[in-house]
Amino acid sequence: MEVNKRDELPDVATLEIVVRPDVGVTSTREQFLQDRIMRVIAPVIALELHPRTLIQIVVQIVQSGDTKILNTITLSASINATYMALLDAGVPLRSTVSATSIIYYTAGTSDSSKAKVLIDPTRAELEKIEKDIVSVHTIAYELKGGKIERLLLSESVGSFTEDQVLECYDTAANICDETNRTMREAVTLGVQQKSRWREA
Amino acid sequence: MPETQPFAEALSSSPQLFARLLPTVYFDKYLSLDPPIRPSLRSPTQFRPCSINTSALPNTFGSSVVRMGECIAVCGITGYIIDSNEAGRSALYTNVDIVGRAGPPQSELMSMSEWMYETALATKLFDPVQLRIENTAQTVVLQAQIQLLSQMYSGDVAWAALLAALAVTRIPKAIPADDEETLTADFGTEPVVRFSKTETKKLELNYENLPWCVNFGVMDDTGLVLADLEGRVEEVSVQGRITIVTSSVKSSIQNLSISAGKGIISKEHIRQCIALAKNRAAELDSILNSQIYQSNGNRW
Repeated sequence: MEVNKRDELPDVATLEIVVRPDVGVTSTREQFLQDRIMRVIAPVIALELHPRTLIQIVVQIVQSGDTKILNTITLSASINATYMALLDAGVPLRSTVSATSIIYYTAGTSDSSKAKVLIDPTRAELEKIEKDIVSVHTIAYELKGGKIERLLLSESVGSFTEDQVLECYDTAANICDETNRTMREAVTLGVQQKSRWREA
Repeated sequence: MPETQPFAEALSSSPQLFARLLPTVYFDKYLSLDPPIRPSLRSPTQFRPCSINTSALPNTFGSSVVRMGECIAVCGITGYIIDSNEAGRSALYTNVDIVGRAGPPQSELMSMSEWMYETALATKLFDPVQLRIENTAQTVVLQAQIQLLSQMYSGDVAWAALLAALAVTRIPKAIPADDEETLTADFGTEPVVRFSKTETKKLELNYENLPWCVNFGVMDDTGLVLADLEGRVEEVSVQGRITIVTSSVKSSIQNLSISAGKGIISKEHIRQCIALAKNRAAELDSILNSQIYQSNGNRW
């Protein structure tokens, strides 16, 4: 895209991310999401291949999977959606990105070490346990060749122990692996659909 | 005596120019010394010196001035009375501002403001029940205004200012309004209250050891952990970031934010940072407590 002269960078592409909420006006919450998505996506795009251009990503939230007080589903879904959009647009990428949300909650006990785990929950599931949420973790991994390579981003909020959060990273790695496979299938199907005229 | 070569002058530039043009190379030169040291002459795991002053501002329920290295933040806490059913999900609203800068807020600042609000909400710093006004359906809502006085700013300092101000906050008691202006207006059946000018009650926090915020950087290539990043050189040269909000108490952590950039952040890095963060939290607790002790003459 054409970039403003003042935003133009001489050696890399300028990256702009805009998040629009499903309901209401843009607030500092969207600014926060933009910042986090940027931190995940910027290292993955090969920005130096397109200097003096603008890559603009607009994330429009159609339906928020979060309850009123959480950001996590929005963040992990936005990261996955942004990645797939970049793939679809043909922007050169170094590796694959996959994100997930993990929630620890207590059911009946106030001892946070006996917390139960909810992975990538639906909004209904979240609303059921809303009052018991102990900690919320949004984690994004980088994958290369279908294998988990390294941690890209992790946002953990609430009250948790060191062991819990490190265990979370392992759980998230497995989930992101699966999510990545699902994304691959979807992309393969999409490409097949688009190229079906070639077979005729 | 040979004349000074004109070229020689052009080739030797000042360290400041070097830092501006090639910050990563400049930084590397310092770190490759043995033992590694940073341009600010701190060791990699050394934190900035911190000073805290509390109750410095008049007309506030609580206030603080916190300085960490070159960053200064001032926090003033005020409150107002509203109907309980109008109260939103938080009893504390935070606003972060940079002094002396006109125009719309920078995106970084907006992001930090949101982070502070969410973290304050999630860490449950105090029980909002104590803000309810007896015998009425009204409650007090606190507003924290944080001003960043330096051009360099970081979330740690702003958060520290908030914590320190809350630690000394005293809520004025609500008494029936007796001034002419309030009595002549019509408020319906709700008892009309206003803040007392003399009686106050200390805000009870849920933490004995406060959850302070600490930031770290992890070098992409060497995996070296740097505590308490400050300055343009460090921010540009270090991609990996870890921000932790934790109290010095062993078991729990309140917020852990990791952004790897282009480098690798391992579990070892995370463990090391958590340990350093808890030590720093203990250090900050004692700085705050001794400040409060000095200004009050008794333990809080």
